[in-house]
Amino acid sequence: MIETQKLSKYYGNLAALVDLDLKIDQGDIFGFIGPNGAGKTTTMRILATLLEPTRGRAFIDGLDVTRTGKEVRRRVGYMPDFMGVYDDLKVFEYLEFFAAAFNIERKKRKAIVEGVLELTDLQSKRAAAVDSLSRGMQQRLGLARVLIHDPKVLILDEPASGLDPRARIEIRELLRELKRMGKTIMISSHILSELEEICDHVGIIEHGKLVFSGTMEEIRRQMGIQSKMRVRVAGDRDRAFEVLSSLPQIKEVRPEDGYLAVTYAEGYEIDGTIARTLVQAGLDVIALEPEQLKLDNAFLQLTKGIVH
Amino acid sequence: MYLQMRQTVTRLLMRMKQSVIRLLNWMNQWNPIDLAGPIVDKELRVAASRKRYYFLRTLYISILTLFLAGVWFSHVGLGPVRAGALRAADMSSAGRMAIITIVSFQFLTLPVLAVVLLSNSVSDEIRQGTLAVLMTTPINSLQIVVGKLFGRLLVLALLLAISFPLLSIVRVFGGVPWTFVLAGVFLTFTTSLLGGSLSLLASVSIRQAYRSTLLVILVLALLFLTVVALHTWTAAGSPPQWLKEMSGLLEFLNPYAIFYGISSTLLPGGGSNPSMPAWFGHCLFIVLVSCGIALLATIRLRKVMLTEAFGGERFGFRRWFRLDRKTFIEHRPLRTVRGECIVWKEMQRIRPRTFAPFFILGGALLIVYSPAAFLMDRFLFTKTFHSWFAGVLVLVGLVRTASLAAGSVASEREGRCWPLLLTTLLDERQIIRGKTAAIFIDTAPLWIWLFVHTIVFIALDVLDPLAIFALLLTIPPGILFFIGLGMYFGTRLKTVTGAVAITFAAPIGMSFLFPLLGFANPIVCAAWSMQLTTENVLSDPFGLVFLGGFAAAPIIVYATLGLVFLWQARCRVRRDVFGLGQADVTGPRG
Repeated sequence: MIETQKLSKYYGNLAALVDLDLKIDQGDIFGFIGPNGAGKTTTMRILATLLEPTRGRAFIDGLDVTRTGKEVRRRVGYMPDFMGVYDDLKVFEYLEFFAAAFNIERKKRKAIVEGVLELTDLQSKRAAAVDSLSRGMQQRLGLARVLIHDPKVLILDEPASGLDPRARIEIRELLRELKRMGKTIMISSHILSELEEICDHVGIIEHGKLVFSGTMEEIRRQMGIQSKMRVRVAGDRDRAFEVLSSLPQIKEVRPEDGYLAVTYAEGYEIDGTIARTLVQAGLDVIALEPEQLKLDNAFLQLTKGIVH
Repeated sequence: MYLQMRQTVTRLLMRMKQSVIRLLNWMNQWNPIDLAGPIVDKELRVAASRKRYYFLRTLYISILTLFLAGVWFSHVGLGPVRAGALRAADMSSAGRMAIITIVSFQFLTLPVLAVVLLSNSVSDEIRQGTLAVLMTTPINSLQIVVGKLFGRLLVLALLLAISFPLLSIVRVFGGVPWTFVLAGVFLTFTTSLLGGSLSLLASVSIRQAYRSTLLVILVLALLFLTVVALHTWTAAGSPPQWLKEMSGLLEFLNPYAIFYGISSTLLPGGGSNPSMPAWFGHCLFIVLVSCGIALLATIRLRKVMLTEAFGGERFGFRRWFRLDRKTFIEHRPLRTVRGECIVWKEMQRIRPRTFAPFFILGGALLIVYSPAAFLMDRFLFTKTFHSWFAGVLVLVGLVRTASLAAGSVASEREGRCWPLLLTTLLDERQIIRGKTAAIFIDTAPLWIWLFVHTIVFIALDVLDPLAIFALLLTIPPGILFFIGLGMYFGTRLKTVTGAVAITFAAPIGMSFLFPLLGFANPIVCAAWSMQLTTENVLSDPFGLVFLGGFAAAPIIVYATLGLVFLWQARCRVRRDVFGLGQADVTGPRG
């Protein structure tokens, strides 16, 4: 659905984007991660037909963004990192204006606007002045605007930035709902834990270059990171240590804050072996905490924190 | 013995040093910069680091030099030096004209500059959210107002100071009394102070700097026009006795009238030297008025600061009459998008349909027709009145057109709505066409008023039918020119104020470079249209040629330029969308 080929953008001598190759399938949620100034926003602006790439090509639904701008805009809903609002309009009028700007017939507009207001839970604010809305509400309004012409692709540049935890959770739920509706979503965020929970794929970009693209599993595999488990038993911890160390799928066991930190050998995944073995050995298992690879850790390991 | 003396001297020196430090500390308490708090200091630092102020000073000196050179060559020329008394007479005449020109130039430009410099003084702080930060410091609202006012007026004082040595040197040529130079400098400074304090007061309430600039310039223009109107009425008819009596007081209160009075004494056939008490008293009065305005700005700023900090309702009559845009939007019913969406949206922006236009229109009708109808005998039936009417109405209409055009794109760029609009299915042509149509719809009542007025007075046999023809030929190119120019600069600049300023400055600069273009501007042409008579034009071949040229020049030049600028604006719609400058230049796409 979204594809870039050797996409590059230079601002004078500054390389904002260098030979970016990206492919996002239909119905995927793609998390775009990178430090400030890495090139995320530039990529998104090019895909939204707001910037011309210096080199390379980008396609949305098979259409070249630089050559068929209008057709691409029909298929894309773009939400910038900082969204301006028309402060002379009310929420309903704002959405109706954008509906009209997307050539939606007048008789259909009302129903469509009501629909997106319901989806984004903004019905109670339909008659409120746009600039009187809180930041969270404005972000919702931004999402409502993006959905007004029912685009196949959503490009969301940090939609959760500046929001309180409750608003973030609500946005996350909304994105899940959009995924269920079959939208392809490209989302950038600084709150990596959020992307981890909703993204099918992630792309990590730094200094204009894509340093990784793939699923979470592929990150782990590529980085050679083994699965880990934290185990707590009641009673004889030394015995538990011995039992676990003897298992062939366990590479290492070491005590850690009252727990036993167990590292699986390469090629083994977390399964029920540990719990089963400990119970069979007559040990009471209090806690089993799988320690997955966190996106934050991957981000820190894959990037050097270089900013332009 | 030597050691004892040395100790005594050292002790004395130490005491002296301490006394000096104590004296300096005491004097420092009364340092005006400290009195106004750290705001003046900040303003001076900002002024010192901004390239625009260096550019302003260079431009100012260049213009002064140009004026001087112009006056010198027109009086002395490049020919052989004349001998004796003739040479002295030439020098004296050149010196007098040079001083009148420089002082007049300063008097007319510096107050406008003061208005521009202070137009964003508070509104920028509010928009950037730094006013709330200032509230958390011990700085009070008075210190903010005084700091802003004096910090920025110091830039102007520097410009005045630059010209002072020049004036002193030219004065050596003779023919100009010191009182004139002094009066000119004082009047310029006090008028700048008045303009600056008015602009500061406006910037507390109005968020857009260009709006406060236009409002204050309108107030200053009204002051200026009062003098001209009084003189015109007195010359054209017989005003009532009370108006004649009032005119003396109005002239004393009006800086432009005082300046006109003192400069006319230096012109050939002028009266006696300006009387010191008149202009000095006026200057004192203006300083007092400015202090009052600054105090009002302080009170208003305090209210705004409290509203910013704690929220709450807007205050005053603006809310009661729903003149306040925000209150009006909150209370009005939902509207449906009708017709072209971009035109509809623009109309919500530029004319949110508050009660304000009714007040403005009613006031304008009252101002225009009541003095002409009731105060002056048959003044409505003189062509002078209609010339003034057409000139002022076209000026107001074109100023409105230019500011709306410059703001139509720039406001979206400034408010970061521009990328949202560009990701819709609206193309460049639709956007530019829609915005142009909205500007025309907004200003249409003014043009309708002008044409209805002209038709009525043609029917009453006061104006010639040619007037309507001439107006039709001169006004549309003017509208097209200013829409094109405004849109073009709107797509180039990041801020509305910048775009509006350049849109106004560009035609003025153009008029300096091409004086013919300045002469044949739509305002002058509209004013002249009212003076036309069929007999003269048709009987005199020169009249016909004059009418042809007079109509053709604006049509060809202004319409062509307007179209070129509109085309350029259209080409730039998708360029530099995020205001990143040359680095981010992209072309329009389908």
